[in-house]
Amino acid sequence: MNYEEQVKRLDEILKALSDNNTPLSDAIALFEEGKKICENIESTLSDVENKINVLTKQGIKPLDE
Amino acid sequence: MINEEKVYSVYEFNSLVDNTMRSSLPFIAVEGEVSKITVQQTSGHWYFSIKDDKASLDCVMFRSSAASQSFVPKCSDKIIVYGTPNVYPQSGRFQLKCSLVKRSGQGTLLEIIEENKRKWQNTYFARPHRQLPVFVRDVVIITSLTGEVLHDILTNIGNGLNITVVPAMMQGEMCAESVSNAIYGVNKAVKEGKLKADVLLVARGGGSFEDLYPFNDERIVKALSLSEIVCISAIGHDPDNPLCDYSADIRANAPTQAGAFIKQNRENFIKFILDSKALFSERITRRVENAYQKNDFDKQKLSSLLISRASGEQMRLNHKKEIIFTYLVNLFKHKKQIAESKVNLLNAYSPFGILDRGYSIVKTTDGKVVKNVSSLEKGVKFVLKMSDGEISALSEGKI
Repeated sequence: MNYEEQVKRLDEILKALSDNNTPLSDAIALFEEGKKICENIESTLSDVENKINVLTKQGIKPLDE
Repeated sequence: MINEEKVYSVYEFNSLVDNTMRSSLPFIAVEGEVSKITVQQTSGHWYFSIKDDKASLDCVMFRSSAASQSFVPKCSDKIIVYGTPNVYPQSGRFQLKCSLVKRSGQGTLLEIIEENKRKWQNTYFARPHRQLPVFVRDVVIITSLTGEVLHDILTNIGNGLNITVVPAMMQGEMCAESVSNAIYGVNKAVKEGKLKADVLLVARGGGSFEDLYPFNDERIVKALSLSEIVCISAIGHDPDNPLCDYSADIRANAPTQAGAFIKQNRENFIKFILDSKALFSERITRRVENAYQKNDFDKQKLSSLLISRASGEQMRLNHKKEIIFTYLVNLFKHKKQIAESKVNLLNAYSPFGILDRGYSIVKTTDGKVVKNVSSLEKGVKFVLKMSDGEISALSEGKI
């Protein structure tokens, strides 16, 4: 799954977890899945942040800084 | 009728003689050689004497007549005087009162020349008078092989020329025919390609009137007027002016002058060539230098254009990069924000909050949540999920 697909899945999980009718066992499974997805997302975001830092060091600055 | 009985006074007698003479010889012509001549400055009258081998005669010409004569006689000139005999009553002096003087012998010839000069104004003399060609290399000279004229010309004419000499009789009875034939002959030979001539020179040194007379002849005058080759008449020296001078293209004062003239023409041409060459060379050089300068200038211009274009491009590129980067950073921030809010939300929904309170979740080794003790028989491995991790456990069976 790419980043956007993972985010979309996370949304589904969040929706399910917010529903009180969701059984606990399902909730736990969903939660764990969600946690994994968050790790992935955070990893991806971290990579992008690093790349941005590298580019910034190279002298390219965003316009509002 | 003379009265024999009458006795005259001197004055009367002189006057009588004068009248008698005048009535019987009103106007006569006398030929003689001038033995002396005085032109009175104050009055302008001529007092002169003419003689022949036997006798002498005193003459006078008053200013009124003298002024209209075509020439003033000199001593030893042979002349014909026209006038009236005259005895001065006072002195008894006898002289011829002249109203006209002509050169004798030559007189007729001169008249003929004058006549022809008038006649040929509109014919032979009216031909277009051309100049020497710009470039003269081949010169044909009609002249006598003897005498100094040819030598003088060759000395003065300079170098670099092909000279052909056509000998002809330059005086005497055969002169007119010989020279005119030579002129026609040269023209014909050039036309037939047998001879090259850029200019034709007819040359004869100084001489007497009789010597130069043939050059007034119609044959020579006509031949020169018809010459297709540019021709120069160099007959005698100034002020000799035979009629052929007028029908040739160019008149030279003297044969040597003709030679010098041709030499000068050649030198002018050579100078023109050298000047042109220098000018051309200078102009070419300047054009080449200008071209180089312009080329350098263009190159510089081109370079600076490229540089400014490139730096312009570079700036635009940098600007674009900055814009793109900004978008990226903004997108990143945006997504991070969203992700963080979702993570927080997830944590908020976390069912694992109870774990922190000491509860555990029992799962199978497969990870399935176990809700009943009956699911875990004695000896079955299972997993306990606690707040800080998981423990592997072995069931001892239901208590």
